[in-house]
Amino acid sequence: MSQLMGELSMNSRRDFIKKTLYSSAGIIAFSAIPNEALAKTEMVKITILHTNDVHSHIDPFPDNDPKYPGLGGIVRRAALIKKIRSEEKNVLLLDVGDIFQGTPYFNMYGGELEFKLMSMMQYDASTIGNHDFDNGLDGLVKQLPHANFPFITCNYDFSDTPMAGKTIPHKIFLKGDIKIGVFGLGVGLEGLVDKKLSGNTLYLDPVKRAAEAAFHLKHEEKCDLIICLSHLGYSSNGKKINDVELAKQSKNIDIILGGHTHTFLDKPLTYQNSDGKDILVAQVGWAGIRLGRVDFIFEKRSKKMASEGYSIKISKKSIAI
Amino acid sequence: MLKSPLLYNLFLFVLAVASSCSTTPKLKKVDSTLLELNSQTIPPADSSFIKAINPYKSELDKTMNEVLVFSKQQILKGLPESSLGDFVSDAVLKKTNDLYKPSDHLPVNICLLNNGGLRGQLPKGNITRGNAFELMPFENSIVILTLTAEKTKQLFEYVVESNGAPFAGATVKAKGKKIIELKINGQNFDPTKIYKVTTSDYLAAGGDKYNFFKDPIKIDTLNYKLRDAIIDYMIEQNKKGDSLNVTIDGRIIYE
Repeated sequence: MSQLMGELSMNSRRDFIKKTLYSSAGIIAFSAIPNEALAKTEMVKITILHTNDVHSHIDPFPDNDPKYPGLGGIVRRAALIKKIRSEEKNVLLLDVGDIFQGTPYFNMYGGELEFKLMSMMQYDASTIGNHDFDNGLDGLVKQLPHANFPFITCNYDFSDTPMAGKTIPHKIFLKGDIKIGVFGLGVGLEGLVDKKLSGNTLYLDPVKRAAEAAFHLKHEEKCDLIICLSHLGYSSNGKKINDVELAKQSKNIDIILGGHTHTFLDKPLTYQNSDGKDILVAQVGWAGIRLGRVDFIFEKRSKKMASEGYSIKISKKSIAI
Repeated sequence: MLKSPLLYNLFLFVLAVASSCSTTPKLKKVDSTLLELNSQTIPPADSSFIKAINPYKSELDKTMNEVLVFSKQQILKGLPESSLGDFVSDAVLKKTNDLYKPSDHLPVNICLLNNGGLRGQLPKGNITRGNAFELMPFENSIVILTLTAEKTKQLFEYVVESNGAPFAGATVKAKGKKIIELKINGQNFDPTKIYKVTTSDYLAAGGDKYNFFKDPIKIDTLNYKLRDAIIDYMIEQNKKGDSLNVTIDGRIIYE
């Protein structure tokens, strides 16, 4: 009986959050929300951490690197994530693909260590980038046992490949009573991935698939926050579909976490979707040089959801080592 | 885009929450500042990660820390021409011709690669095997395509239109997006000849939409990785007692 009461109150609470959230005029960017203030007003903060295109960069760049001397490194990223987890209750850690290829770690071990370390950092999910095909689909399948997080994609049809049944189209996470729907999109393979590597993978229209996934997550699953993991690229001279175009054509998506183009955005940029509502687009360069962070605040009484995002540069100074 | 290496933007705002619970909270911007990740904010390293990486790293370091050659300056990527693009395409052209023994005895004329395929840059000083792996991480192999003069011309038109690409064996002068002079191996481009181009199997198979590579007269394979060609070239230079001294030589000029 008491359990039922609990569920009832949780559900009505969530409905209330949802109603208030989507009637808001838009997403308001702000930052450094004091946790005490949250407690006072019974607000819920969801902290999204994201990476993209880490490309097997496990060690920091060496000090003599021409472009990124001393930057990045998984040990530092792990420490930073651990610290954020100790400060925030509701953390979701996501990657946007191209985990593989870029250092001898991949040439020698095929991505085993990348997946192991991401599992240790407790990644919640990743999507699949074009370079994750670089050892063929068999090469990807071989490494999957080292990943304890799901691979989310809704526009690669792997049914006639060794990856069949090894990805999911979307996943719902429940954090602090907030229902978060996450779906993933991959980039077109033609001219990018050798047919020998992608085999019988079918590439499906990302705009159409995104619309279906976001509609499902919002209206059928009643998610409060909808996240798209997109390896389409930030922008591409208007020739190919990209995150900016997707954002403008979309409905129901709150934020696109992007990758592929290695674009360094200091904070998420705001675009208007096809309903005139705000949608954020984020991307944090490549090689694990930065960790992206976006906080979403949900308030039960007001008609507001707010968000704040920035990217944290991973450098020697960011960790005592 | 990285405005300050040690700082990250932290835009400080506060929630001005009205004392009465019935009032709607307002989000109010107060101030913005930069916060340094200083000794108070530095998180300690998690030793479990170091422990997890070490066995892999120590094994890798055995081979990857090997110094192949010394470079007098940084070798950097860029368009329309870069020292890295010149260096890699020169190396691949040289090593292709070292190994290529065709029945017609005609050597390869040109090397064409793609800028996106150069994944790292080379530091000044010691260049390690690891540097070569990061520059060319892919397992792509060298292929030699024999092209008609028409397709060879299309190749250079594409290079000029796309603001350059790493190539060797030719010089191009362009006005706007139009070629005004094209020399291959020091000779004027001859529309009656055929030309041989060394490239990667990835590009030959349609990667980066190099459409002029479609339906060549002939395809030869060397079973030789691009990365191995670069590494072998570096070792060769070092054996000769040479350091790398790569500068842009003006093989593509936009007037």
